[in-house]
Amino acid sequence: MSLTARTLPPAAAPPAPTAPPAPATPDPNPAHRGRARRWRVRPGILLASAFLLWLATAVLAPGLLASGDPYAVDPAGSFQAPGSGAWFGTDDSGADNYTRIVHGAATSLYIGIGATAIGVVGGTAIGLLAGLNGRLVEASVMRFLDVTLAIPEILLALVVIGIIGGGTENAILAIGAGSIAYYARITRAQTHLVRRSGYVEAARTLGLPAWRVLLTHTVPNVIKPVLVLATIGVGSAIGAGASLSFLGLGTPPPAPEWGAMLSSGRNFISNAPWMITFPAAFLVATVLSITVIGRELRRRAEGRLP
Amino acid sequence: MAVLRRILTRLLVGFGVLWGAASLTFLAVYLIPGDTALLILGGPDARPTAETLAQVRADYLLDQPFIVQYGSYLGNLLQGDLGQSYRLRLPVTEAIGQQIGATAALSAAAVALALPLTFAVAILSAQRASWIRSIVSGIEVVFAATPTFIIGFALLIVFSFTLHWFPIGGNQGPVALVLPALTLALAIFGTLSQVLRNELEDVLEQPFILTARSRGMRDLPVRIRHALRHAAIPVMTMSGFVVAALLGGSVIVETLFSRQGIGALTLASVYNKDLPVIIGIVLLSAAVYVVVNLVIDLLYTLIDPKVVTA
Amino acid sequence: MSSTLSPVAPPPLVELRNLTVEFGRGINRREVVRGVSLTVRQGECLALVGESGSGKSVTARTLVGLTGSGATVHADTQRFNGVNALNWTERQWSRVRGRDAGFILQDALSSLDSLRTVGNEVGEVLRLHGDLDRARRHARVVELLASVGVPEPEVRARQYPHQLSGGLRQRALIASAIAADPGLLIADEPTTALDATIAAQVLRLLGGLKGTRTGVLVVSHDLAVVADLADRVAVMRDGEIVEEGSVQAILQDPRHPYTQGLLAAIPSRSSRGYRLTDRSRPVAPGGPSLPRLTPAPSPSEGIRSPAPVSLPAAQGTPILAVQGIKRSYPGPGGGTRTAVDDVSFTLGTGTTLGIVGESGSGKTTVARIVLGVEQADNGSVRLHGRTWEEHRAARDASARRSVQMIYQDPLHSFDPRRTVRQVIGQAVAAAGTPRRARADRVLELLDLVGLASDKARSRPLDLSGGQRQRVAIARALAAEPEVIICDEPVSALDVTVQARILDLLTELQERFGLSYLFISHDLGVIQHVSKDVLVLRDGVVLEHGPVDDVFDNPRHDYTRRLINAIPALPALRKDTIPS
Repeated sequence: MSLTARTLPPAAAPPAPTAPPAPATPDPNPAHRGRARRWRVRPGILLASAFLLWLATAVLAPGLLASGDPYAVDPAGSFQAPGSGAWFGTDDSGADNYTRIVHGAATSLYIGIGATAIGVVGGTAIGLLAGLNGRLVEASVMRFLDVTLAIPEILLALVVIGIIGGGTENAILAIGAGSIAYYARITRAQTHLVRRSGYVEAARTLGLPAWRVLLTHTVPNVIKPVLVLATIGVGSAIGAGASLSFLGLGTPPPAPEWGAMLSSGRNFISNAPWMITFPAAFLVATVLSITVIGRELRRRAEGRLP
Repeated sequence: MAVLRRILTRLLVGFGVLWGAASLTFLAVYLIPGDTALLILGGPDARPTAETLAQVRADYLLDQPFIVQYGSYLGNLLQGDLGQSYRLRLPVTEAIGQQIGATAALSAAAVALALPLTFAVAILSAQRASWIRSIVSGIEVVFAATPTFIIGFALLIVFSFTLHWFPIGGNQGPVALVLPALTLALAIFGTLSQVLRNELEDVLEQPFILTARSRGMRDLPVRIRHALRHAAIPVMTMSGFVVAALLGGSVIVETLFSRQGIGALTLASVYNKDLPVIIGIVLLSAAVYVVVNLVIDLLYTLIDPKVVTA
Repeated sequence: MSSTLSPVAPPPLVELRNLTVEFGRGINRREVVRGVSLTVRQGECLALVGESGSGKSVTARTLVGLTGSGATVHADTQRFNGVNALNWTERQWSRVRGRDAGFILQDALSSLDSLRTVGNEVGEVLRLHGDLDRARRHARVVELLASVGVPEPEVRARQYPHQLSGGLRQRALIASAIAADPGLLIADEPTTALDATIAAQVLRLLGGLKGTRTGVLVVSHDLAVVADLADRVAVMRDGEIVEEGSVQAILQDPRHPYTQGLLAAIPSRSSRGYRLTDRSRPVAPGGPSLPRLTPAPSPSEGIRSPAPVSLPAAQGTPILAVQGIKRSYPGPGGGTRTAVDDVSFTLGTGTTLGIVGESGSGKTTVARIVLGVEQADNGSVRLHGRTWEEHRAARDASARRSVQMIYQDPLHSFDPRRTVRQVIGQAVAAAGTPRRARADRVLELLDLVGLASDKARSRPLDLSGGQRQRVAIARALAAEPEVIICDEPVSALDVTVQARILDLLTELQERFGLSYLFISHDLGVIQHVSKDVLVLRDGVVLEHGPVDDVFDNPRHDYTRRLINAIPALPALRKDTIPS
């Protein structure tokens, strides 16, 4: 499992002290002003977008990219090095590496999105519950989250699998459950910020009923940054899914799943390294592309926040 | 005085976390469908007789109500008894004790590599020309986002199979430790350096940095004497992440490099549904987390005067 | 720049000719300083005055080689103590900084390293530039702190910046700047973050440092602040010095229209009743104290008066009565801190009540209690004779809307997801405007506050500070209020922008008979806008009465100190206000 690159959300800012009677000091360096707001297309983003386009095709219409059968076995043609016959070589059973990689994209994305969905839905529900209710509910929920925080996500996922067993769906459940606490903490912190915000107060002074303020201001402003972070989360969940398969606890072979391919390739690393390098390259490219796009979304979203 | 009270509260909270983790895992195990007695006897393949099953149920209090089982579990826990491993037929404490040394060595080596690397890179690259920052931040993203086992594979292919500098695995000596520790270290570096560098970039724009420069302080001393302490505070808060990375990463790294250790033990226990060991490892990780956070908390009081005086 | 010194005089401390500073490159390239020339000699004080973005801070920093990353600096001449400093390396600069030039920034809380003791911070200059050992350094630090008026310097040297009050911190920062006895002192907005009474003390301290050998360059947005301190003033705008001269010349006989506008824009007692942007135009004959019976007809057709309920009522009829409100919070260490203690006042229809107080005086808490978003522990707030609870019980939504607030930082009061149209539209809808009339109403409101209709599509984040405040005013007006609470509405704005917003508020009051509860730390602003004034300190009302009475005959010593702390602009107002 990847060491998911998750940083804890900043603690909810303390209530703003009475504003000092000072004009805001402008940053003397105009190059820094509005740095987060300027939208430049950088080569990394273009590259990531292009790869994600390829990935989307591989998920929706794998036949367009690789017409062969990912399960086709050809004992005579095993361990072919990359070349004209098989672009990315063949594996120990003679199956075409490229075809299997293309067809494996769907499983990876299924795991990544599925697990993130579980984490986001569970996490925002718990986080909103904690952030919108009284002190007692909040305190107990937060202590509960403290406990889950003490156990690394991967260990949590392994415990879940130790209890319910392996397989693709169970891996999704395990990874998703492991990330609930993370999303719950962000949601709660964000809920506090939004609840104390001037615009919620302004809406209240307009005489809008509490439920409308909640639905039109609070919840959307809480959910949006969580969803942005969730895009990055999809990347790390894909990595986690591949890691579980690599450990033999996720999608079992012979399914064309990248982690599983890497797991079986491990035994032939010295004589058929292409069984490792190609699935690894596509896995890394996928996780990186999603991370890069997710960070760009976050960068832009944060520029929009006051 | 304030510091002492702080430590005491933290200790209390730490015990709470341990108790919570113990209860949570116990509850999860209690609620899973399946016959625990059968698991203890080695799964359905063991085909135990009805009498032995009944005997095991009585021995393990499995026929008692939840509250009795939970009470006896907590009572044993307080005496340091984590139960027996189903698979190894050993006390869990012993099973963990046998493996903890290897993983501790691996973790220590990883931290010893990661921290200097992180600090050096962040201090030297923060607020430099934009091309330097782009390159460094690119490297960080790659290491932070790439799954750990892929980093390990890359190191193996380059340094073991191509250059033959290091063995491909095993527990033999410090040479065998290099690649596994480097794998973990790079993964930690990727994430930690992002945080530290971003933090440094923010701190270096603070007015007090300008003040320090206006006194005639040179760039590197400003970074080290003024900026670093401020930037280190949020990084210390990430120590929980580092602990998680080490424990979680050890599962991957020990599998990849065929090493002994807690990670390998975890995986074997998960394969075999060896629940007492799994619970024991969960408690271990919670304990490590609590202790590390306590230490970090003490470090805060050394670095940040506001913790003590405010 | 003309020199009146004899040829044998020592070289100027700094000399700059035709300075140009650019940031960024390519399409991001921006010229922030253009062709600036200045000289600071020993024993004189030059003030660089300008609004935000004028390039004054960048210019000051360039003098000691701290322009910032990504800057390109060009100058025909740059001399430091007579030595050519063009193309100095970082190493050369670092030898001069601190030793020959001391730098004082605004807001000492962020300008001192919060993780180091005050003594360490002050002593750092000595460590870098001197050869004193640790003990002698400490003794010198204590001496320095004592010399800038820090009481108990031994104790203070061991404390951290956050343990000192704002005034003491600023003094400590000054001590660190003068530690190596530099010939040049550069003070960048040295009093901006301070309360008025403290600022006056710090200014006196700075004035005392201007010795025979020491020259001072002070950078400020506030002409009045530098009036006492400076010998010469250079007014900057958009990276250029538009006018330079002696203090007297600039203040009494400004030549450049920008300087004239800048001076006229400063609100004060004598500007009351006039527009700050155009002093030849009174707000209304006789000023706002004239009774008004009906709301003024609006020039644009179809705008409804936002003050429907109580009109026609004589101006001055109490609309809001606050009786003995009290509010305390849990304080540090288990005690309670009383933020507001027994505050009472009434607000009359169409009038403005100013609330003056320094930070921590409880003025914002009063505002929030009046607004009804915070509860008072004791006492009552009555709008048209009813408390907020009674209005709520009566399900009177129009009462809820009839008190609105404008904040110091309006940006935080706008949902970041919404455009200007949506922000105002929400308030328009809340006021019960039929759906099909809402779009037109938003445009009307934008026009009313002086914003072009194409701004409706912008997000507040992309607007300037003044424009944001206009959006906030438009939203408040959309709710058709009777009372608007203005909590430091112009404190974050440049003086010319402040003048336009104040004029807008005055004009709207005229047209719609609005009542303002106007909170500010700035006595000039309060004197300009208020009919009555309330002086708050530590949550207690010290003075309450007609603004001229309070300022002419302060009963309390604290009020007297506040009034004395208003920087004097000698013989200025009468000259700039056409009779």
